[in-house]
Amino acid sequence: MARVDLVGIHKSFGATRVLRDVCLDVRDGEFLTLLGPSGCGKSTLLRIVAGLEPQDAGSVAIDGAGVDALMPKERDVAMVFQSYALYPYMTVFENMALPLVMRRMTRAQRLPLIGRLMPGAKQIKRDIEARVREVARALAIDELLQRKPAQLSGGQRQRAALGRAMVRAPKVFLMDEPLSNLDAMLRIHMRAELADLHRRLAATFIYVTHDQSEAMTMSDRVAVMMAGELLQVASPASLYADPANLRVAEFVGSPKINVLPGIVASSATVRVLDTLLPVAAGAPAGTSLRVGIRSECLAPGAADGPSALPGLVRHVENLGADCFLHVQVQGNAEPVIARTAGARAGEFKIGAVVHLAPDAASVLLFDAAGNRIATAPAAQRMRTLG
Amino acid sequence: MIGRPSPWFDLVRHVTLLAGAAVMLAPFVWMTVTSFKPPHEIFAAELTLLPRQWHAYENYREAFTKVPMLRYLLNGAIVTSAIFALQVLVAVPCAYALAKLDFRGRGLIFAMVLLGILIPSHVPAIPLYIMLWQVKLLNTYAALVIPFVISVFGIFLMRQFFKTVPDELIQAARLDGLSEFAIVWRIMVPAAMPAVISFGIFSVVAHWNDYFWPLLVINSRELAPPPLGVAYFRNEEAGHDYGPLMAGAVIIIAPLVLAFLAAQRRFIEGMTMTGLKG
Repeated sequence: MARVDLVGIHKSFGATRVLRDVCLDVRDGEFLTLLGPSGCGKSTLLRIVAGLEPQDAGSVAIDGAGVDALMPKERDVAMVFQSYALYPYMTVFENMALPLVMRRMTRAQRLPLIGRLMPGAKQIKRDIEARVREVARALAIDELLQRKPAQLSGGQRQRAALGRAMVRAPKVFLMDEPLSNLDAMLRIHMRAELADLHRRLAATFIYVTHDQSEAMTMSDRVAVMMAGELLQVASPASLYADPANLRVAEFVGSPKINVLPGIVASSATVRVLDTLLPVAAGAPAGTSLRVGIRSECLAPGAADGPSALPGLVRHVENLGADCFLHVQVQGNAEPVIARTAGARAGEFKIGAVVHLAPDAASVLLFDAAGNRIATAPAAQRMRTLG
Repeated sequence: MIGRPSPWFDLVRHVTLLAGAAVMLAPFVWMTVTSFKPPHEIFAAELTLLPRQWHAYENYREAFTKVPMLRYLLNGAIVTSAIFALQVLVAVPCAYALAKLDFRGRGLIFAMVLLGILIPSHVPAIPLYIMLWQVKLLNTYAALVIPFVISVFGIFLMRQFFKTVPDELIQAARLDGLSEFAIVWRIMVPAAMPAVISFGIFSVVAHWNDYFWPLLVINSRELAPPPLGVAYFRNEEAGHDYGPLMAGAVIIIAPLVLAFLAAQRRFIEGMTMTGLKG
């Protein structure tokens, strides 16, 4: 269990800048996810924490103590890799025991044959075996200890790799896309299992993924990274409801947030395409906007409301519980996606006119550069604070 | 390829391959049957595959008694195993550094390794001879072993193989607390076992059969490796008694053939995985 503090991390590979001034505090016992598209530098950041990759500038501290000068094995962190990286010719037991053998036994005690005669070797071996069995039981792989990795299924390999990380009880667990090689069903199952494991171990987890559903379902906090920069660090709920900028809003949430052109019409209204919405923007009238509206904040209906966006139904996706309408709104090239109950799917015919009424309270406003502009409730709060 | 090739193509292919195999095997077969024949049959005008009168016992007894054949075999075993062990000891860490560690000058050093492969072994023979003479090691086992300890071919072969071992495996090992040397011997070598074995076969075959270098540096008969031993045999017999000579030749290649048959699968694995053709 430990705190991890990253200060001003820079990293380049040749001329390519991979990380730019990344500062991040991971709290003790937290499940923090580094989320971003592939190539955003999140795996590199994880490797810098592990000590596998040196940073060009900045520092890493674990529990307040700088670890920049320490070798990976001295940092007391364990890593689970995407490919699992199990030693192929060793059994699961040997794989899991190796970190303990290397740490607890002296060079002489590790020698084959002769090592057994060294004082204390037997007792240490017995302790290691007990520890490996205990962890294997916790992961339900105690039946598989004598198998080689090649004889295991993907999920079993995953557990063996987790077991190898767990036996040492490290301060920090680092996980580099550990679920992405599993099939979809198993991935969803392992999500719950990993979250449960985190609660049981109460250790600090830093988890790297490009899959926002993994990030949203398991994490205490999510750090969104893009192009080597940390865009926002927040809980999954506030990341979704209160994104700091348009890139975060677009990356988090499925289907992708609808983004429409708009303008601040008055102190209490915003014009989106041709529709006036009762939203108080924290910007002067005439400011051009990009208006983000999540699919569930657009209520589709037949009636022409005072502040509804008219459009034509292009496509209906009925997933059972939910139904997504793809609506062509005039003035916007991209279809707008609205979510409604699956039971209502029959109401919408392809090619028919539909009116989408935005929930004014949950509309997100961004300026031309993509930075968030406060809306009414937030603006009011700012006034009372000021 | 869609569907099976026509049976005619199959036939032609097999006939061609069989003809090639026959050409390759014929000298060995001839050597073996000659070692079973009495002298008058060897020089007889008509060719027969099997001897009419078996003379194997006499030929082999002569091969073992006229010259110390077992001594030569022992010398061969000592020299080839010492060479191979030391080659692995040098080549494996070098190959690991060239394949997986990032350091200044790595490209240059690797280029020098490749250059080393291009130099025929006979070129440095005279400088090596003079060096061994200066350190007074001529006519010792050391003279047979030392020049071959650094095998650039071995470094190259192992480096190509290590390249295919995923980096994540090495990173996992570093986090598990293994030193770089422990990574080399406990992680890389077991993962690259087919390459180690095929390199072993290359190395053992080359040095078991080496005639040129032992001829230069060895004078004492007790130190002669097998090919030199057979040559002594031939000199003594003045080239007339082919039966025992062939028996001697069979004896010295037998260990190699047996070793190859035992490790055949690994050998082919090693060849195909490195993409190298013998």
